[in-house]
Amino acid sequence: MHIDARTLEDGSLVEGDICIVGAGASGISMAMDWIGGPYKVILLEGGGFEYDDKNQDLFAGKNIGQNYYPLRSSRLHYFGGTTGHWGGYCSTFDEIDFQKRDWVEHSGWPIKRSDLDPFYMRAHKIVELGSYNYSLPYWQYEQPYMKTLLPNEDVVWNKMWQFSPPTRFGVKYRDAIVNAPNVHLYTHAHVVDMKTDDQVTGINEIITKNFEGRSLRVRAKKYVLACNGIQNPRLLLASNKQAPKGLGNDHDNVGRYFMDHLEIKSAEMYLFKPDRLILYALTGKPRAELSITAAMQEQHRILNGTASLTPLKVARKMHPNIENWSKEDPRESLKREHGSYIEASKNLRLEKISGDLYDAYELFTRMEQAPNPDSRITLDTEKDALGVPRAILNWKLGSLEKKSIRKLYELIGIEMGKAGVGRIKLMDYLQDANDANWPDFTGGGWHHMGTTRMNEDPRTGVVDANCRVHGLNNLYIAGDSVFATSAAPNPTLTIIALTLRLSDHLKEVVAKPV
Amino acid sequence: MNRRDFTRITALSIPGIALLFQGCKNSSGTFEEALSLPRTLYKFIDPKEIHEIGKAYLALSPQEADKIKLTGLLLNGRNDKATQMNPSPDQAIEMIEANIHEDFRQDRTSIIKGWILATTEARQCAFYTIIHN
Repeated sequence: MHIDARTLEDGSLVEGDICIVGAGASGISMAMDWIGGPYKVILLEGGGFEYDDKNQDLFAGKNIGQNYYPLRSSRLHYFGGTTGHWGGYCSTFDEIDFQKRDWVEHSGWPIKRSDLDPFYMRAHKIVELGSYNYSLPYWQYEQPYMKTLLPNEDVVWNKMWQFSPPTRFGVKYRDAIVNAPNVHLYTHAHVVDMKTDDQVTGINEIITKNFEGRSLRVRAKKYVLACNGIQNPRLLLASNKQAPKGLGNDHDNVGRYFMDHLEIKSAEMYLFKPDRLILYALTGKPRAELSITAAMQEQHRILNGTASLTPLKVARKMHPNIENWSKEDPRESLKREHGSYIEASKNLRLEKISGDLYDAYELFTRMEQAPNPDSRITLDTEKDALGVPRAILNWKLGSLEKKSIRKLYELIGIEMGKAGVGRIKLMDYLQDANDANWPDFTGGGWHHMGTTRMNEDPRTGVVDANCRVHGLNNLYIAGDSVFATSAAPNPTLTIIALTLRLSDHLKEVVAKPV
Repeated sequence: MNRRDFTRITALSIPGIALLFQGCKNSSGTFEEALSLPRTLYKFIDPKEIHEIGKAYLALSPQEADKIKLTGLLLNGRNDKATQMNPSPDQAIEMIEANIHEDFRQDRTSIIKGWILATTEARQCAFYTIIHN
């Protein structure tokens, strides 16, 4: 059922079994998983069902580090969250992404890739993907015209991606949520504070507000913060009446380790023989990106990353994301981003049989960022319209990211030489191995990860392997803020898989008598 | 290249190498062209850039800034008796292409002006730079 919190009396109290804060990909996936069960689920959404500038403004914040997108426009604040404009890119994290790597400081998760497999499979259905299969031969059998660029995968392998339609959660799941008798969706219920018991061992109630000046108190057995990588730490830090450093922040980890994927054009690839390279083309069908094998990552002590291919004559006309996405209004930024691609690719013909042949491609990187405690979210002294301190982002990149990008293309270049298919030219900013600077067109993937990282040790993590906040017995976190490392793929599929894993865990926990 | 090979090329083969440059021309052009035109690259790199790559390579390897020496290095990458075989331009091209492939296989590569090149390709560019200076 749906309740507009603006219509409630000020100070109303609602109670349930679990309270989910945030109705984006994560919050909606969890709520859907509880439909029809014996438990009362309270789902809190700050916005309404449609975009609204006033609500969106609550996400505004400052950037003081590496040039980044406006915080106001890099997430959407209404039912469905950022799935309202996501691109639908999906792929799984690799085994190596969960491992402790001695060359990547602060790496390692307390769970393995295999722990996520059953949940990846369930997540596939939620974002309307095809078979849960990321093996190249499987897709080549389905679509035999998908030829690989390189003859073997000892050094460079083809990492497969699938594409969601993309599923707009706010549209696709609205009716199911609103019609579910045991799910109580409250819109226009912005969480502004979380109150604990006197010993700060658990949450007693959550307070929401709206622009009509009406507050709502919510009590539940278990609480799940499912906002995003900026709002999750912001809420924890801002809930500081009983815990002066903020909730879950005894060891000063909340907000630290902010990571995004480095998304940046990096090299040009020239083929001796023109090719359509349909396996790598962006057509909405499964495609591959070039990646470095785990063994080679270890040998060269580099991060995980991929290279995607775009015909050079198209790519050269495209403006960098960081330039397109410069507006505070997400609708304006999105228009510019799409406009740039549409304009550049208007003559692009990628049909599998009759598409144009290209002899030159741009190689575009999607690289994981190494966890860095100094890359972080903090609170501003300035507050939003509902009295919550705004977020400040200090995005910091290190030297390992740049070394890794350079090595990625060096290895691809050597493999292309061995195979006799062409040559690679690095862009200027990668040519000097000792140059630590980043060019103006450096951008991220709008993926805000790591700010409430998962680690079994409370001194180095905010949540445990079950996503429970260390030191608090009933507060959990869902979303990419729990990622210990960022891997290369876009995070949505992994966010949903982790959320479903948490959902299963909570069902067990809630079922247990107190 | 080890000292023994180097001595053999410079001491024994210089007359042979010099002969190679004398009027030897066939379908692929002169012997000099065969050495200086990186056939793998010229499709997408213009002569100016080849010259720049050559200059950059010679700055890194000044000891190779010699036409005779480079000829030996280009042809003998795979077979140290290559220069004594008195190859035709076509044969030279074939030998160089095999050397390029072998360079990639053996990780004898470098990044020059952003290009990820086999050492043999970089030497061809260097040869081009020398003869066009």
